[in-house]
Amino acid sequence: MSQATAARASADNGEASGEEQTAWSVARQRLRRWSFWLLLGVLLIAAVLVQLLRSPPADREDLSPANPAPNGAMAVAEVLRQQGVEVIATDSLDETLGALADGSTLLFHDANSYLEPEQLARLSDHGGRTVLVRPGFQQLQELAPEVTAAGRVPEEGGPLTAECMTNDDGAGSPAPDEQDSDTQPAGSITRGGLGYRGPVMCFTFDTGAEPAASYVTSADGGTVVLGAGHILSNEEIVNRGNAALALNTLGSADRLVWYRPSLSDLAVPEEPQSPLALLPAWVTPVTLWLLAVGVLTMLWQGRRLGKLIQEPLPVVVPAAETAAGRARLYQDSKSIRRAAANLRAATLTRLAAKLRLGAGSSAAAVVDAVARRSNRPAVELDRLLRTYLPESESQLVDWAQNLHSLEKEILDQ
Amino acid sequence: MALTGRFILLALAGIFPLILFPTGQTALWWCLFLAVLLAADLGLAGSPRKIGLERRIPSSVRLTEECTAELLLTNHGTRQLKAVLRDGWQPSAGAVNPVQRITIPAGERRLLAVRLRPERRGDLLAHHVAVRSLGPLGVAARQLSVPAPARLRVLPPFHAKRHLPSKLRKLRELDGKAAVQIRGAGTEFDSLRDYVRGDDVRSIDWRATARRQAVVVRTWRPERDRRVVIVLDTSRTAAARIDNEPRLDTGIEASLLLAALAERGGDRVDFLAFDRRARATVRSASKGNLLNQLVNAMATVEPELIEADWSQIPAQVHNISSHRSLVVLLTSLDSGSAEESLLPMLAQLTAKHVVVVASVRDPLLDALRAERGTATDVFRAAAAERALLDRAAITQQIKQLGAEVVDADPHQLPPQLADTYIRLKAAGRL
Repeated sequence: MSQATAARASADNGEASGEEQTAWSVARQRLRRWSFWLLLGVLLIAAVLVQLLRSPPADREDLSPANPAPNGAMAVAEVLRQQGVEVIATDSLDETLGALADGSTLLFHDANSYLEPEQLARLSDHGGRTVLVRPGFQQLQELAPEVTAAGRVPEEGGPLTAECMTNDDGAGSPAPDEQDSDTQPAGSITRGGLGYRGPVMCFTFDTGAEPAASYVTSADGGTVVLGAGHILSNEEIVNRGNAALALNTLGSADRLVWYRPSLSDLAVPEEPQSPLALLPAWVTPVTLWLLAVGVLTMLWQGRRLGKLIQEPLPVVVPAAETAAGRARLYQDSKSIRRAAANLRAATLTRLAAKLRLGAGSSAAAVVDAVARRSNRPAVELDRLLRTYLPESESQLVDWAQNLHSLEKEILDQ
Repeated sequence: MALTGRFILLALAGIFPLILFPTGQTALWWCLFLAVLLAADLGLAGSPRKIGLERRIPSSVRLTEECTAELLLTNHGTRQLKAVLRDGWQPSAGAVNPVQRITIPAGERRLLAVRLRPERRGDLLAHHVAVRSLGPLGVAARQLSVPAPARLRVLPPFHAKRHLPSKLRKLRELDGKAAVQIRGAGTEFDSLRDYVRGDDVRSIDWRATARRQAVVVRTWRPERDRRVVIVLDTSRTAAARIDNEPRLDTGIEASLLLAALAERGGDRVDFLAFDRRARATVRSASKGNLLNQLVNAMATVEPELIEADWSQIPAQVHNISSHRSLVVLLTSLDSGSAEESLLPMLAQLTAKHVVVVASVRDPLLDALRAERGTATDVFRAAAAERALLDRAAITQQIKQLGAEVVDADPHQLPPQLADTYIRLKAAGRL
């Protein structure tokens, strides 16, 4: 109590103290001052968070059943689902083998050739239909040995028509009815993709050698090689008979396993030892700790002792600035005559004063007086002081130096 | 809040347990340990809010001199205060030791002396005292900027004072000497004395000689109680720096020397700092030490970035003195500003008063005009010559209007102005 009164009494004596502000009021003041930036920061963070939460990483893969973009195949997968076919998208071999039941269709699309021959062999006999989309050489060898690749479909020509031919006996005989039911309703499909040769070829096209086809089935019809993979894409599915062919081919069974191998299928070789693993266990935590201590050191050193102090700075104008500015103007506008006139006038004025000629004396009078004082010829002096007009900068410099030396000569006498 | 080096060392010491038990848990425990230490130290530190501050500032100090600003600190809290303080003087106050450590037991009071070496004329300010109160462990501190405003008036240095003795001697030589040989207006009769050889025969007072046996001469003393009005131009041209000193400061030096001299010479000195209105005035009628009043008035005068209004000067001078006076105008003779307003006004002023226009000449212009090495140099020399010619023309015009002109380098202006004053006084023109 007594101390409080003492404090108040001393405060009355003109004593300053920090007690007018409480920690709370200081905090409130700072909050008010920084509120705009705080608000901005919070808004930014919120916007970033919302953006992150709202959009899961989108599927942008070619012919993926979950990709709604033009290059995806979500449309055909969705239509099949509506038609009662269970479409299961898988991306690993084990998952695929687990999902395959008896009689289900397997769509195999391995554009990057992730699978090794041994892995392909495990797929070869699953007891249902296998649709290979644009298979590579190795895939054909393992899964459809009767089919061979025939290169790209030439771009010239109209759509491919659903004419089938068997190739068993070497002569193009009509195809069995079994395949017709898949291909005939389509009528025609858009041209493109890869061509193959095999036992039963539909949507054939002419090549230089034997004819090849976009749609090749094995002799028993259990394996379909679909060279025209693009007909499954969202962009092309609506054109011509693409949809009919796709739905008939994929929708024959109740279950479709859409297998697109991913990186997880890569047979991982024996892992090389990471160099980090050779370090003692404490290195990582100690490094992180040192980083944290570094941040603390910055806080320690960066804390200013008290508020910033202002210093009202004076205007600094060198007085010769105007002369310097005028000199630059002379030089930029190449005012050689004007500069020469200034130099001449100043020299004449000083010489006249030195030779006691009075302020109003003429240039000729000054030349006369100078000629009497110096031993230079009067003609040269007249030229230097009166008549000579420099034309270029170099002449100006030369003349100005001469003028200066003459002036010094006279004034120092 | 503020951390200390000790806290950083403790944090650094955390690597030893981390090497022994390299798990995240160790790190967490050490963090907890540090947090507890921090909280305890902050909690036990003396409150910087409970500190009472009282300042003792010298009323004024001359520039280039050193002074001590004292700070009385009272600890009103119940705990000992161990703190680092920073006295918040602005940088040009030149605090030598603004940051100091201090320990004040509860309820006691300590003195903190901060030495100041001001680097600028005018009012220098301190706004606050920053108190960083360390805890007993010394790992953390509570920090607060306590508002404690203070003001130190820094007076102009008056370097020209060193010229004063020689000029005073000159002035004294006028005294009693028959230097004022022309019986002009304004010379005052002083006394009669015996003729000695060498005296001017014209000063023999024949009437007094007739009354006595010996030849008697009259002596005069210089006029006294004349008025000197010093007008210092504080307009934009005063801000320009010559030899790294604003024109204004040179003007202040010159007017201080002139005022000191004129006061000893028995004249009455008035001072006016003016641009468009009076920035500072010192009247001869007021009591007290003239020089003190002058330096105090001049201390806070700063160049204003506006054009001077010379047309008001005759009225202002008339306000100060309606008699014939010596009016000294300390301004610049730059072409443009002078031609437009200074010259038209001068005729009005010279009709009634003796006018001296004093201006600082820029030695840089003389250096520039002599340098003629390259084309750029020559153009610069030409521009410098033009500036000097313009200046000479204006000087000529001013002289034609009947005013004296003192045009000198910054260091030479005060003594030359003083010489002009002595010369005018000797000639009895005041």
